[in-house]
Amino acid sequence: MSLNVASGKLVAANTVDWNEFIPDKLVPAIFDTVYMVSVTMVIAGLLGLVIGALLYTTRQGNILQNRPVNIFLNLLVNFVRPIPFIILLAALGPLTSMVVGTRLGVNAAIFAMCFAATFAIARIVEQNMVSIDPGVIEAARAMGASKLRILFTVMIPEALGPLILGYTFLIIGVVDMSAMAGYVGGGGLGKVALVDGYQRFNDLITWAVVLVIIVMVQLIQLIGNVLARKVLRR
Amino acid sequence: MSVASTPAPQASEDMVVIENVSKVFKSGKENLTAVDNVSLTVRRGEIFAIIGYSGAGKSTLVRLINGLESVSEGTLTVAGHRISGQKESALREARQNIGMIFQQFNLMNSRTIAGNIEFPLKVAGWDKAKRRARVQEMLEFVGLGDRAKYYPDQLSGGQKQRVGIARALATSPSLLLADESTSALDPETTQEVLGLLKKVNDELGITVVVITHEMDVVSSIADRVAVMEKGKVVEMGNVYDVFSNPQTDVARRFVSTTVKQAPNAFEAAELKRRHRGYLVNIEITEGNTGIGKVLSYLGNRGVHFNIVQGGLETLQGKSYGNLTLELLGDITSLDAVVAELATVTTVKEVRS
Repeated sequence: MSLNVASGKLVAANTVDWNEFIPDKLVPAIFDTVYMVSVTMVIAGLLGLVIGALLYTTRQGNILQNRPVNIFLNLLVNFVRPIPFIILLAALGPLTSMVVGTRLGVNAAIFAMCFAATFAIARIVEQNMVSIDPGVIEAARAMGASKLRILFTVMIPEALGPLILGYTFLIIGVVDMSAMAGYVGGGGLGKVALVDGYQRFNDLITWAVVLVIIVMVQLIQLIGNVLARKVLRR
Repeated sequence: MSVASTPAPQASEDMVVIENVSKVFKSGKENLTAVDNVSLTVRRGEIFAIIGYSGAGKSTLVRLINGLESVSEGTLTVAGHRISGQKESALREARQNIGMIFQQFNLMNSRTIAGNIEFPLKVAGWDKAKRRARVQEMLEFVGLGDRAKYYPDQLSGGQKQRVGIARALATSPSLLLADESTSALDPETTQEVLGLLKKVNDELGITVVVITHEMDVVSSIADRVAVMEKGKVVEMGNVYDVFSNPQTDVARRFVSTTVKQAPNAFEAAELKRRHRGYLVNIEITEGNTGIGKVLSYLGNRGVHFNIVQGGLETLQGKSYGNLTLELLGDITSLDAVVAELATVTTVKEVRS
């Protein structure tokens, strides 16, 4: 309160014309965020599944046991994962402009998000597959199943429940990334919160965006939980 | 592929031939010899048991038979097809002729019972209609015809193992490997599963190799047995021959889990404390009528007897066991009685 009284400018900025803001800014931003997150999850989801499955199956004693490949993938994942996303965004700049043609906008953000999410998903896939009962894999081998068949029809289905929960966890992480991408010129809710909220000292807009993100995250978690429960039958 | 192109030899009497096979696991600088120069033959149509304590190498040995583990030395064939030295891709086809069941059942929780039994049929490339018919047939065979749509976690342990058996037999293999298949089950369910394995052997003519540490499993279904210790087969033969007359300590210990053996030093001291007569242990074997004759004339010699300890078991329809007797009478008569018993069976004085 005292702050508002001290600065007439701040008080003035804390008003929003909702009739204009919602259709012009918020709704397009929601669509942009949903688009960025969806495309990222499809691309990084698949790439992460492949890398994660390789991380798991190339382990000692597993069906594709291969020490050099396993060590290489582990190093790669560990190299990318600790980089804070906001720094990765900046660091990837040259690569982004090479691949996407620009460092700004929704598509540039998607590229960086895919990059970060792929390695995060790879680790989550690996960790969930480790919990598969090795006996089940041995049984499949004893029945004469090929390695690819074991991967796709035994390992992934057996780990599907935890995988869904892992992916849900990651979608929420990607929503977080998409908001951060707003800081370096990405679009979506992050940009609205930063440009229209934070930089113009308009807390109402920031809070409105936060509220929308919270609702999105709750919805995603709810869907993930329901799907996982269905798969796990409990 | 090379398995298929190998000309199948004439159906021989032998299902599994293991010759001088060793398996060495290398971990770092240390070598662990899990299977040490084992040779044995499993005949077509029999139930062959491999018994041993954990770490004896029996689980490794059974995994060499279907190539889940590769042989380090020696040769191994199943139904005339060579298993040792084959590539994984070549082994796949051979494995469709070898079913396997496990201690922890190893069913896929993401599939229904029917889905689990269907899996090996998909691997073998059966078409959908044939698969469906075969799954139902197998479910009926193991007595779970009404459980097709259940999931493994909705079944009891015994039911899970029956699903395991149905799955292992779906592709009509000629050999079934059972790795500690009843060790996770209670005694009653164990008998149920053993009964099913016996039925598999009797009705379908499938050769069965059972790995176990339970003497009951061997005595209730096996025809022949190999006793393993520290990677080696230390005794092998007909179940009755091996267990009515065990030659090694490990075999004796297994026999003693079902049949009371001659008193050990501790038991002997305890018996001596409670009985003042002369204590002897006699071995009972099938068809030995001599012992009864000797015992029935004891009274004429002024000797009385009490049975103080012992056990009898029937194996393959033949009985064997041990009885400890307390003999009461004067010393000359006792000596005469013991000498007479020694002519019909093995007699040992019980010493503490």
